[in-house]
Amino acid sequence: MVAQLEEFEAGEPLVFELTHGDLCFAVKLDETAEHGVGPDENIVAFSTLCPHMGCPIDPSAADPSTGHFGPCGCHQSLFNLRKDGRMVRGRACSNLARIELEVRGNTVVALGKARPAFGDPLQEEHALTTVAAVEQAESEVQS
Amino acid sequence: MSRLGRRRFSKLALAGGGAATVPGSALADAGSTPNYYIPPTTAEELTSACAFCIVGCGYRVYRWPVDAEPGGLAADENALGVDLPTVGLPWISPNQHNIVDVDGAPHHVVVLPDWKAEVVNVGGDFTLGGTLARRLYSPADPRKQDRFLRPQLRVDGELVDISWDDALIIVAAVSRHVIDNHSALAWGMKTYSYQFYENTYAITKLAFEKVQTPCWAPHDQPRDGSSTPGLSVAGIDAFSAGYQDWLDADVVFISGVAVYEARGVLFSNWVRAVSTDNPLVDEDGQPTKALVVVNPRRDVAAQWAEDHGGIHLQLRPGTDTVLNNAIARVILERGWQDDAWIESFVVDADAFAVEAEGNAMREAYGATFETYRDFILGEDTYALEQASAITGVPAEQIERAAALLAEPREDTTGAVRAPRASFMLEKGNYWSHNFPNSASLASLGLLLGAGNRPGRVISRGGGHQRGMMKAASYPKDASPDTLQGRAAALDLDRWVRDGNLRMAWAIGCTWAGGGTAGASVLFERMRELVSTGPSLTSGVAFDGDRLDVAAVVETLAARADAGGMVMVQQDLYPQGLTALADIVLPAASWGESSFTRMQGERRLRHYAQICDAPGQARPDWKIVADVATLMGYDGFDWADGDAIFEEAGPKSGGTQAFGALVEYAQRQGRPARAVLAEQGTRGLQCPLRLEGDTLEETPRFHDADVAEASAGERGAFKTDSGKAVFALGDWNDVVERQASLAPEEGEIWVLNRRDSRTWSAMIEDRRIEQRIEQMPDNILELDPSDADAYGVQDEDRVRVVGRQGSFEAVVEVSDQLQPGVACTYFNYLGEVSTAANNVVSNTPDPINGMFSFKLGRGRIEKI
Repeated sequence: MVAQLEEFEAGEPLVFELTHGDLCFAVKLDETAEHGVGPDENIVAFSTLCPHMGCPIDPSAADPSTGHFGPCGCHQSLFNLRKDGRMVRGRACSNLARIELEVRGNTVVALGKARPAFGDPLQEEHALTTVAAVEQAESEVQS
Repeated sequence: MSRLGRRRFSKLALAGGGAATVPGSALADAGSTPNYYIPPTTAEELTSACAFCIVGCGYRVYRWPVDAEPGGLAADENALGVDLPTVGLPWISPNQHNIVDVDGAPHHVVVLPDWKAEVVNVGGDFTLGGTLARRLYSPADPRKQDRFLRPQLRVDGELVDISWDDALIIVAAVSRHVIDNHSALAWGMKTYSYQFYENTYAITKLAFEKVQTPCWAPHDQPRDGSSTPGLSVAGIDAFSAGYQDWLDADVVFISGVAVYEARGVLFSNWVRAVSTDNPLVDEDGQPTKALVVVNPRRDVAAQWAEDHGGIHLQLRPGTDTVLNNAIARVILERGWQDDAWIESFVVDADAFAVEAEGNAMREAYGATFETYRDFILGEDTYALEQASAITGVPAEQIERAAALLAEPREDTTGAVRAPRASFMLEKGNYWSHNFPNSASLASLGLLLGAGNRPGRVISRGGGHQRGMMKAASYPKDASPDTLQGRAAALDLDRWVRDGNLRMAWAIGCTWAGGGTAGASVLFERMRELVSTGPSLTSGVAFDGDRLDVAAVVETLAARADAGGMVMVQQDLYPQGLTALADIVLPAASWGESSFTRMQGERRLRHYAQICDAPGQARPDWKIVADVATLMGYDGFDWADGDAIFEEAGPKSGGTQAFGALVEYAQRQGRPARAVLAEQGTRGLQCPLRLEGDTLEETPRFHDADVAEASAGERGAFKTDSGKAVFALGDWNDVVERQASLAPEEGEIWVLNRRDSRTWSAMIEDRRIEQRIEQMPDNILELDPSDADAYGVQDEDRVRVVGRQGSFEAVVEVSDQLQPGVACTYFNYLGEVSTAANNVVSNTPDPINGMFSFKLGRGRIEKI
């Protein structure tokens, strides 16, 4: 569980641990967000780790009006929480790791990461191409 | 769950590891989770460097067959030799993995920043290079299905596959016809200047040595020539600095450089970092470093400067010369110039007389210190009040900048000394008023003794890496052009517009997209020219299923004879020019063949071949060599890139000289590139020289510690005397041009810039999901007052309409600009329809003949 819906106030980030020590935050933005939940689809959650080199970013650096998050104190990357954590400017070559949320009754629940956070082990489903896909593409060319 | 104050968050974060580390449980969880990407101990390790910006960070590449056992998390179970996941780098992200063909068999490939690097990118930072693996061609990647895999010929308006043999014969035969019947002035090339020594050597050997055509221009200029002519007059090589010099400076003057956005590691590791070598201290006695950022836009470096004791000089577009000279005037008035250094390292009157002889630019614009001093102090334009009125920079900011650069202050030893000031420039400086901007910056630097000492350098920040290795000099004598009465390289874009070029061969550039000004004008003219005279129909081109090569050549030659133009495009992917191409030649690039080139502090590196070239793609040098041979030229029978590198070595000179490496390798009986490859991501810092059996590098090109008195000697400036020359950059020379380029009623300045989310024409980035998602549209940043005036707001789509063309973008209302100034990305998608250069005048500047790309103007229409 992350929090009850009524606990969210715009711009007041709620910090939680997805697993022990794995710091994440949820925040209610002023406007609807991609993958947002809640009545106004404006509650989103992300890892606090910058996907560039893993520096932690203070959740209070989330601006509910613009959706901007950051800049990261290490290399000044800035992200847009309204748009799936995409980098607005900076150095990261991955987006901020979004946490899948779901509302169950009145409770906001964190389901897991939509993409790996910095340092997470990477699984086959995250790969651009898999062995099976390459083999199929090459067999199509040969045929 | 908790609401969290800043203090508590910091405590929790640190408990998890702190900056550049990974919190605990993700690591703990990983221990039981297989990792799809771990290179096994049997994986091959190769080294390369980033494909993108001038910094050229080193990368380690691992590849292994897909049917091999994957690696394990323990250090002795993987090729990295570290326990994974580790705290901090290396982290293998999804963007750093791909599956590619190696010798025809699918292989995993992982491309990681060199976390062991000891130079350039110490610590293994990564940004654009973090997606290098995804740049590689994978047959299953849906975004790369349009890669050119086979040569193509336009028949009945469509491109159809043909064989390499046929394609090469057609290009060679039509070239031969055009040169023989219309002269070398009718045959030209527009090519990248940066895409590896092997390729540019082959290209220039054909164009300059064999065909001897003046119809050649690099990707971003209308003609051959220096980008920074002011530095050339001063005798300063544009890449003389070493990165340690930017670190050791007490203050860095940054003129028109997107140093964070497009050279991130240079900014983070070197420019903003404080020297450990006795830096100046702030009022609290703490070591400090100040940035003086000159930019009409408040970019990240400008914000950093303001937050860390420096200053942002937010000048009006195009007024750099006035600002630079006004700062110099304050320095002279207060006696802060470095007289002793000037006495030792700048020409006196007698030496200048020699320098001016036979060098028309130096004769016209060079000066001794005394002449420069009298020029600055005698011209009222550079007095504070007038300069402030022209530049829009408050007088007190000009004074403060001068003080930051020159006023003696206390250092960590307690001694009071002049700051070590260094000067960096880039396109925001020299793509506005090319000559006076770069000249006034060079002279400002010389005034403070910068140019050849630790922490005191004058250099470009750099754009692309340094991949131009000319086999012969540009044949300026064959050019009909002059500039102010001086012989000049030919303006290729004008030459095309005037209908003089009958055959154009574009290699790896967008040309009528981001590579010219007034892009639409050139593109439409090209469209007319390729439509003039006969085009190929299937009835002519094919005899049954067989391509009738003779008929194809005859038809295309007839077009050239009729005043039309034949277009050859040699590239990786379709882009704007493809619509005009008669023949497409599929090229192989980064990672698909072995290459060499130099980065921004002159480190020559070997770029390993990582995977097979896709389809029938070939490296550019091979294509050019085959065409040249078919044209009847000798000297192109290279067996491989090693042979080109070794032929080029003895011809290389200046900052690029690597002949010593070739000789060193020959003594060992080994290929020079193999010796270079052993240096890994460190490379060799050029110019190189042999001292006995030892290969010596050059940390600083102009170097007071080793400078000899005469020309061409080690450490000297690039003048006849080996001493520097002041360069007179005068606002009066360009004041009329400034007025002619300035916005009029209803218009606004439309500047353009780089962006940290992508690279150049986005040829690769538009085919990498992560990258294109981060920048799905071009942007137009507007000051809130201008947004109000035009009745637009955030995320509105607008058309920016200039005098010669237009482009579309999405509005971003921004506090980074000043009223009356808009800013956009310079080369979104590399297409003519999206080119910011559509609103830039295609009249080159009269002194050096370059475009003022940074001084666009237009009106804004909401769509």
